[in-house]
Amino acid sequence: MVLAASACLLLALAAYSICAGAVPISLGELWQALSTGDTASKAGRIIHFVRLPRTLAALLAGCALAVSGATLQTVLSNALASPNIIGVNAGSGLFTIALAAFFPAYVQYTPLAAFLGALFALLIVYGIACKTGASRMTIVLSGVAVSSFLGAFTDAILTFIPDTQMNRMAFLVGSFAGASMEQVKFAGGCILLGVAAAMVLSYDMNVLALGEETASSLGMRTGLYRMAFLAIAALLAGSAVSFSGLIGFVGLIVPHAARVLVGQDNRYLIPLCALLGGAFTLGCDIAARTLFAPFEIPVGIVMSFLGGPFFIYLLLSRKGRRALD
Amino acid sequence: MINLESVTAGYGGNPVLRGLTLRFEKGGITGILGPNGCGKSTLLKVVSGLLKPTSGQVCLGGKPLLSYSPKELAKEVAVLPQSREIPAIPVEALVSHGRFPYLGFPRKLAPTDHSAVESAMERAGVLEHRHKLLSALSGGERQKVYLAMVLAQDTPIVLMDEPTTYLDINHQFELLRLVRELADSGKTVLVVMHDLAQALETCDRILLLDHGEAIAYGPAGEVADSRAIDRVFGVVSQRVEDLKGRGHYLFSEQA
Repeated sequence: MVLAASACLLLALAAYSICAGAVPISLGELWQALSTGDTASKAGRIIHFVRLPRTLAALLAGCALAVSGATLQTVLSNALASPNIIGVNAGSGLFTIALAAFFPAYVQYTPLAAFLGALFALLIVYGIACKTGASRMTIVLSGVAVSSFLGAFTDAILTFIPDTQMNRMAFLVGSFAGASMEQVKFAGGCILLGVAAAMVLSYDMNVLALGEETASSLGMRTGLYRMAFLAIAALLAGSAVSFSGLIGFVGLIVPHAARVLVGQDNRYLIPLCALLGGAFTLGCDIAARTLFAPFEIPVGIVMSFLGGPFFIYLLLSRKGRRALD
Repeated sequence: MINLESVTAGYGGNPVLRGLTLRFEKGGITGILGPNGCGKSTLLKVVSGLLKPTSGQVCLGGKPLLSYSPKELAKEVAVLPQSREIPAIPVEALVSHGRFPYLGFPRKLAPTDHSAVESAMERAGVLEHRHKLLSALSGGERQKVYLAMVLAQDTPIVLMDEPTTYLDINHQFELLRLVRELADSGKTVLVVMHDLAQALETCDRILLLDHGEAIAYGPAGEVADSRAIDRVFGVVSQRVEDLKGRGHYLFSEQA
């Protein structure tokens, strides 16, 4: 029921995202353009070259970051784990900017660089956590330290090589304004793969969530599974960062909001995070480009404005607090 | 059935168990007693394969533990650990995780798995809570749900680490009754306990550990009569009989 309602919300927001804008497009024109692939008419060109890539980018990025956040929170047994808090976004950002600065001829490999950066950051955090006993606080603190350290490298590159082929502001705050269909196609494939893997392994994620000792005694190779889940989380976050920039927050708040609705059973939580993450990010992107039209504000700013108070509301509500405990 | 041959095991190079050689026979309840840090939980971890000995070996039915794959071992040994996560998932979903060692991909429960889960919930007395979230239950009910998961795992050997800790007296009695039923159905139960009197009254055999070594091992009454428990804990024990002629143990400080 919740899944069906979320899917309907996502579809409605996607349709609105394509139709709303400086040039309004009717649902009839949208259907016509999508069913015929028409790029000759004005509406068709707007849909295929501007709004569809942007809508897909927002939808896929939200979906990826929310599923990545839910996976990390479960695997690391830490309610504060999310791609931006434990250094995954910073790792992706560094590798993406380093590629643009030092190897501008290979920018087509941006998703790969973002994935490797995310994995690199995760492995450092995971390594520190393992070495120190993997307490929940250690993971968060090491994530903050790794984020800060990798972020300093990113800032240094942008300072010393100011003509890096990248919209610095849009990348650091997060934006879908420049998303192209090519970027979305490649990264979207990785995201769909990551979400499918997380869904297929959601039962195993439940077993891992019972704790190291219980999961091992049930016959699970916990180390292997934990690494696999971290790789999935890195693939998702890295793919999203490669075309959306350093969007924060969605990976933290959407999984918690979803837990309030369906509890911690990952068989339902993961698909719901995919739907709600996409819907939340799409909603924020629509607000970012329509609230102050014709001016547009970066989606990351809208997300923090909307997400911050919502998260505080979750903390204050009894049901929300139970889900966060 | 379970053989430990000169097993030394510990953490970070510090041995907790020191050259332990033991044989646990099939069936019955063996209570593992000893002061804090003597190696009780470490012994359970070694027998369950969660901790590899630094020297010596553990064998199940004559076969070295290290030769078992994780899933093969999980079909032989189930563990009710001391500390557990309390996820907000339905009771039935948690109990069904006990079938994990038997599931192939894509983790779909077969009719036999469903009936094992159903029977485990019934035996543990949690059938009425099957649709409730684990996190919404009391400590005693949660413990029974985890025990149901162990029952669903359906292994010949069951290890329990302080299963009655934090439970009120009625839940303790209920849990110990379930442990007895497990043993009576032919399973070998090793249980770490802190309540000496409860252990002596519940268990068939007692293993007394101190500083990683076995001080006494045998039938509960014999171990109590040997005064080994008194010496290890620095206490004085006394056996008294109630009106129904059942023996109970009282412990007091040494003068």
